[in-house]
Amino acid sequence: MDGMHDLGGRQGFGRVEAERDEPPFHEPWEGRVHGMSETAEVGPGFRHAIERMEPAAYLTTSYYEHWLESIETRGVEHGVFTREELAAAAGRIAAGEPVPQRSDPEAAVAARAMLRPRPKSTYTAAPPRHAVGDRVTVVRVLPSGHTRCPGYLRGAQGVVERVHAPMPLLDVFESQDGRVQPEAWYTVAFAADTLWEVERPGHTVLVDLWESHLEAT
Amino acid sequence: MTEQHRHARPKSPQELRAAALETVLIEKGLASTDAIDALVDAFEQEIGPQNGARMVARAWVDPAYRERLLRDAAGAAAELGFGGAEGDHMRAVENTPDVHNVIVCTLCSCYPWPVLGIPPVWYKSPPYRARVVREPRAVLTEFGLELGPDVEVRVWDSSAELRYIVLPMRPEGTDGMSEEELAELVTRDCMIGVAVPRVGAAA
Repeated sequence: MDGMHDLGGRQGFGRVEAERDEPPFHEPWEGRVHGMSETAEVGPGFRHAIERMEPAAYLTTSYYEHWLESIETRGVEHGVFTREELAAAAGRIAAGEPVPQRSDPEAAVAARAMLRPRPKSTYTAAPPRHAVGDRVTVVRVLPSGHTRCPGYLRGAQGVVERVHAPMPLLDVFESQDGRVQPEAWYTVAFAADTLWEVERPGHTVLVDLWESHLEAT
Repeated sequence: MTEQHRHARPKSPQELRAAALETVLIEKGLASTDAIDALVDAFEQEIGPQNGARMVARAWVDPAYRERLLRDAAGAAAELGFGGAEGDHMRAVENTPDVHNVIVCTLCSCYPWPVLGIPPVWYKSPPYRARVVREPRAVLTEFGLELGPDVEVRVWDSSAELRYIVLPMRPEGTDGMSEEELAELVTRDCMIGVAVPRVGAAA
């Protein structure tokens, strides 16, 4: 999707402002949003819900506001809750009611286990069409839905740096319920001066792309 | 989260929205207070760049570990007990006198949580994501890092499920240091690639 999230190479932004001794969460609500996002099932499409944000809103809201937006949007779209239920709850909280508590020790153990080493899924797919060192071209037409191919690579030519074991094409996985399309995927190296007019000396940009994003050159 | 926080009236619209969402999810039985608490505690107490720094220091003192780290970073992380969400697949990219690596996610904010924790706001910000792929040397200069013209800059735009971590070069003047002392030199920024370890710099 050619949304505002697809930021690579866009110009006009100012300095990168780094904060010293930054905490993981700046406000307690950010931690609550992180925890809800990782533990509550409100349906697929986490990133795509953020990508669909109105461009000006995307640029002027924080990372955890994006997450909040994603949980709300998906919850409503998948019929998990309604805008009216959210508004009613907000009214009660604003009137001084506390957030209710619910204990589920098993869920807490499962949540912590998500952040420990765990087995990887393996997938089978057609053999990779490209090998290390092959020249490849990125397709020009990218999905209007979620895609993992940055727009700045449309039509770009690169060289395969590494071939990886198959994984579901996340363009499909994030956008459509249930369907999984495993494909070979690659790390592809691009000379930056073939993408943009760049500073000298030039540099290399390496991006992970699936079979569907590439054609042989 | 303290009881005081939970019962205070929300101070901002975002806090109110988050509290309303948590209320709805809990009342529907879709979220539990202690599962959310467990994740918050994990990131505030246990998971952060100190994990990645231990891997880097180990790689500096143990050539066999370094080799495993470069071949299979998720496996090397698991040896030290680190892994899981946003780090099931990881790759370490090694700085050398000829190559300097920088990590970004232009589409989102992908980052190796199990070894670096929650990404800093600047990493998630539009200026960093837009600029570092296109003008990395200018961005690195803003971070105080000047690279020689002969050094190849490699910018890794983590667009899939593979999370990257930079293995920096061990600085000179660290010969007598223990692994623990070496880990103190390795900051989060060194493992993103916007800094390099320096003796005397605070971790």
